Amino acid sequence: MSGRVQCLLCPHTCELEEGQRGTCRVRMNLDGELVSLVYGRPVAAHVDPVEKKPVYHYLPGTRTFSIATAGCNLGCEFCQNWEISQAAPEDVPPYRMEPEEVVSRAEETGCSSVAYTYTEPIVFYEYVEDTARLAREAGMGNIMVTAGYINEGPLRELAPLIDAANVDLKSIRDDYYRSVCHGTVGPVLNTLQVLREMGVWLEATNLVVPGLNDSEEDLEGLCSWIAENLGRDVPLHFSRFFPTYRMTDRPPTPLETLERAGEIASAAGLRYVYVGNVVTGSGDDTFCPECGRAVVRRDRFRIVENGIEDGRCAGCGREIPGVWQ
Amino acid sequence: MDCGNRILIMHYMKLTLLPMALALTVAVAARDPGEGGTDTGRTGILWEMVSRAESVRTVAVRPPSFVDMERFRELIRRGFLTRHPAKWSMALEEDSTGEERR
Repeated sequence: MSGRVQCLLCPHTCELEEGQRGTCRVRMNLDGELVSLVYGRPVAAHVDPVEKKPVYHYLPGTRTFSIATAGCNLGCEFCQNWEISQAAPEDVPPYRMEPEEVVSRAEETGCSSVAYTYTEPIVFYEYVEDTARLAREAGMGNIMVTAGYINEGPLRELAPLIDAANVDLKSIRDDYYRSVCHGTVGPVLNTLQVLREMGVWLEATNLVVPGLNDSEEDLEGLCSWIAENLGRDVPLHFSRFFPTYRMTDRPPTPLETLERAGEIASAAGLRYVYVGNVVTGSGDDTFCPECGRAVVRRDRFRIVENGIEDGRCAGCGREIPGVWQ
Repeated sequence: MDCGNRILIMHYMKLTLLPMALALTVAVAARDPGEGGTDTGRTGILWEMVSRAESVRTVAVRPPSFVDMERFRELIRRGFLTRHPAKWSMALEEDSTGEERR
């Protein structure tokens, strides 16, 4: 034996000598064994509205107990949570919260689900899996907010425990992933397709960065890929960029760009398109594609009106895809 | 300055100073810029280009790195970090010739 191990969780497939940790910083070779350094050690634990994830078609108006450990297997230069995602776990004081405690706290705080979010839940895979199993047994849902950079085997094993996912599709271009996110686009597209195929409620988010992925060609390519490969009913959230972390050389996304992105998505056939990280008139509302009525009206993360009855538009009766109760 | 001296100085610059400057530039650019990457102000442009080269494994923001084992064992003992068995791992073995097998 060489004492070397290879982590097969994500496409980086890090080969680790004894005493080495992977690119995610939270999985390492300790005495010839691959271990997780962050199991039961979240650095963030909050009660959030489910709309904040953002997940708009899954139990609207409910609360979700949201946890994250340190670490990420990507290195997006615009990361909004870089203080914890790009940090080494020894540099961020964690809570001690075993899966049982996560679920009991979620119950105590009236949450309908547990969300694995803020950083990258893929890197704390074992913690997600054990917590999700207990949450499911307690009658709660599980939400994964992820960049989707995971190998297919681990994904297929975890997916049956996940009820809803929001996957960040940062661009449709591989060169963008390589230069800005330090990953590749192929595995992310595969994750989206596998989650859809396995019946996980799926939404996608695209952060629109001025000058990098906001061209008509980029947006049309991304929206067309979603429509053709995932279907027109997958909600797409366009999120506004704000300068942060390593990307402070450009302004926030202009509102006109986000509006244009919404138009492009609609033209591509997507039925549920939202604009996030910005206060707009109706960019957060869900419209019935049949009669045009605003079936769910939102004021940021608050539900103002829910006109969905038994999964259908209260006005015309058309089915609105999602998990509504 | 006469014409002969000027030619001599130009030859000296071309043959000695320019190669030295080029070598220095390459050496600095190839230096490991550290975990903060080139944004730290340390150069290492070539190092970053090579580390972000074509294969999936090398696009990672940071390559696998060694940790201070003594410190980590102490952090694990104190419960700050965990040594929970991770899934999706594969041992890499060497055969009798020293070649690695999977």
